[in-house]
Amino acid sequence: MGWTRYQSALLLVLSSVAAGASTPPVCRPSPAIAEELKRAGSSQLVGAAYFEQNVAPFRALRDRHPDNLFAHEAYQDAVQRFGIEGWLRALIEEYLDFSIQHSGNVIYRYLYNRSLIGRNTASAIRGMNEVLTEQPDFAPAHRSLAEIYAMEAFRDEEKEAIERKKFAGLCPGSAPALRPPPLPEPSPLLEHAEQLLAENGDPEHAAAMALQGVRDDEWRLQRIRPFDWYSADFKRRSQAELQAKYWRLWSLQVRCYRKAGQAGKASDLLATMEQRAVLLRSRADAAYWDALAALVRLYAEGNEKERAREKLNSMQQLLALRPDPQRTSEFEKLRGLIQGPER
Amino acid sequence: MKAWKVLVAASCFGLFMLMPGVTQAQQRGNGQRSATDPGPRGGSPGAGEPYSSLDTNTSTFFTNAADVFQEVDSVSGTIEGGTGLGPTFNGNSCAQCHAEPAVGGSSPGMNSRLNPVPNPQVALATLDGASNSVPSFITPNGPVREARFVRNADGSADGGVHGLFTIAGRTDAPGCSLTQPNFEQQVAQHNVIFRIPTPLFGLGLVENTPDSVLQANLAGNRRAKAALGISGHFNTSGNDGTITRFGWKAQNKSLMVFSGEAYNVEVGVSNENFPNERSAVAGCVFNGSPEDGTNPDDSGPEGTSDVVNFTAFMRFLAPPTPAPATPSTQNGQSVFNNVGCALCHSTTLTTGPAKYNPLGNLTYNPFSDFALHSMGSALADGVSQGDAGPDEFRTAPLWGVGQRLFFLHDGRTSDLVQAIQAHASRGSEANGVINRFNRLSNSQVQDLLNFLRSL
Repeated sequence: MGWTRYQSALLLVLSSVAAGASTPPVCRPSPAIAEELKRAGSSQLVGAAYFEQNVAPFRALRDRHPDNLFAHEAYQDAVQRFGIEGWLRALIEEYLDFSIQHSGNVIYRYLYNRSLIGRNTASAIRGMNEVLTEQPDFAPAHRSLAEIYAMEAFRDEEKEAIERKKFAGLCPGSAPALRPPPLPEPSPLLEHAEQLLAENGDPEHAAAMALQGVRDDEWRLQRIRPFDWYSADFKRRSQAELQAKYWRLWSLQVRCYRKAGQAGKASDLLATMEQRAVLLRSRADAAYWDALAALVRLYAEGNEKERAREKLNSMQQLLALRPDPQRTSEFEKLRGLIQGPER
Repeated sequence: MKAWKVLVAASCFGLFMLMPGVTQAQQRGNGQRSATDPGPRGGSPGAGEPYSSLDTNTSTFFTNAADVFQEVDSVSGTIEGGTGLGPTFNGNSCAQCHAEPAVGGSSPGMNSRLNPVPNPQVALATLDGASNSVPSFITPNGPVREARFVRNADGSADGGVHGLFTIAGRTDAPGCSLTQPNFEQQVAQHNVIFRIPTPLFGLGLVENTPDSVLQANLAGNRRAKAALGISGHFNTSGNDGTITRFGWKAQNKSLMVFSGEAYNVEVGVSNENFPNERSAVAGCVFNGSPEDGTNPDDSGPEGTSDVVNFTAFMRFLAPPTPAPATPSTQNGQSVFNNVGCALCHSTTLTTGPAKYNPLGNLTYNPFSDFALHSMGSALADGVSQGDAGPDEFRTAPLWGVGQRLFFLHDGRTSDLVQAIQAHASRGSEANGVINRFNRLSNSQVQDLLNFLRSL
């Protein structure tokens, strides 16, 4: 949903600037370029595997129009929206090269600084201001600064208003874009897979669906980790959420194996989970607790009560160290699982 | 004429190298039972603990560092706690390969009496969805290995490590499609050589041994060495000219460099010593560089980089404790000295003054001179590193050899006798010593083997 809104906003900006014919060429793309931009972004696919498909049309457009500011900007945006760390790094290096090759050209200096937005935004701000010192009426730099100061991580309402006003004065009828681009929503596939399995669905299908869900979320995390427009705390939380999903994924896989009569595979995966839980032991965060809880459930379901009790004992020790009412309640529920009648 | 005499005569005429498969049994094949390698020593591991004399703070530091050494890495820290695996890698944790007889050791294996496990690299190939195939030289019963190519496709010298596996296909590497090198083609072209992990016990002592001590040791026994054709020289640092001493060709200067290089090359984690990601194909790079580094936001142990922790772990890891001496091992040690093994496998060295308490002014028994020696055509790997030539290797320290599972730089054998015999081939500085070894009686050889397995 968010992606569509972002694309619409972008197209609105491009089409609105295309409407006025007397503004400078850095305000809006020509109608022909605007049309090509629209076509290039018409069939975008979400997912890491589609980087090349998503970016290639923009790269081709830029290659066709190497001196067009909007072709470059659209290419940069595509790389930032679909690329992971390596691509983002390559983008900055590429534009650094361009700015060196075209050292007298303010547009390439601007484009280099623009490539830093979200990666080293403080440097981008410095660079944009240097561009404006040299050429105070360079509208794209005002637009970029307005976009930066509107972002939560770099919010400065006063500066945003100043830059927005300057940009509007230079490019009437235009508006800065929304940054950062909206994140894809976390994948619902793991939940769907859990539900499917609970409703006696095909275990193989459920396992594949859950795996795809986690892959999608790995890609989503790559939309978060490399960018400084997200806070360190948000990044940590996102990573922890994904770690917790892995434990759910493995749990689901064990259940799927059991359901499919593949006891050996279930047992192998459980052994791997045990090893991984041991490595989390020294961690103070929730990961170890979640891991132990997952193991208790799986052992209880497999009627391995002694092993389930071992894990419960470890959980009890954690609780003694750090009392927590929510965890106590979860602990009691888990204890109930192994105190019930023999299965 | 006894068979072994024929063999000695043959080796004098340079024919020994033509018979690489000759075994002790064949050499002594007059109906008499040959001496045999008793195999890895059982019982408790005589290694893996820190120095008992560490003060409280250093001991705590060591314990934390040991945890970090055992940390497992995934690509972005979502599957396992450590971050930075790949794009190419040979292992996902230091302790995965440095495992036997205890954490910090050498390759694990099925022939361990302490902890028999299959080569973990086999399972690693497909862990967490990875789509690697297992190269033919990585087997469940074989050693953990890294692979180096001798030459590039254009014929120029390579010598670098080529990661066995890539992160392509892993759940935490969405979109990465980096393929493995074509190892089978390289094998067919005889262009690939192997190295196994070196044990890390006692390396703080090695690091703290002054160059002057090593130089004096190498210069000692000059006549005896010359008579046997032993020379040797050191590998040195191109930066400061001092002796380098870690790695199979003594190519690494310090434990810090050793850690940083291994973290980047073996696990794929860029770090403060080696900050650039290898095989950095854009779609397979998921983390900023360096992936491991000092964390300025945290002044506690969590803020210390992994590489610093690895270094501390190795530095404070005590040397292996040998088994109690027996009459046979005592006799074996005499044989070891008399035959000439000890001319390179130096029994004792002494450290210099040290910042860290247990490491200073200590006499220790590495059974190595840490110098490079030509080891002949049968062991030559064709790779040059620093001052180390294609057939030169650092004298392998023999401390802990009693519990080691695989021998020689490529882990080609688990049999001490074969490892000893492999020292002899055309151009090897050890030929004279092996000639003497081949003249030993069975009981002398057995005592020697028992001695080695007591270390």
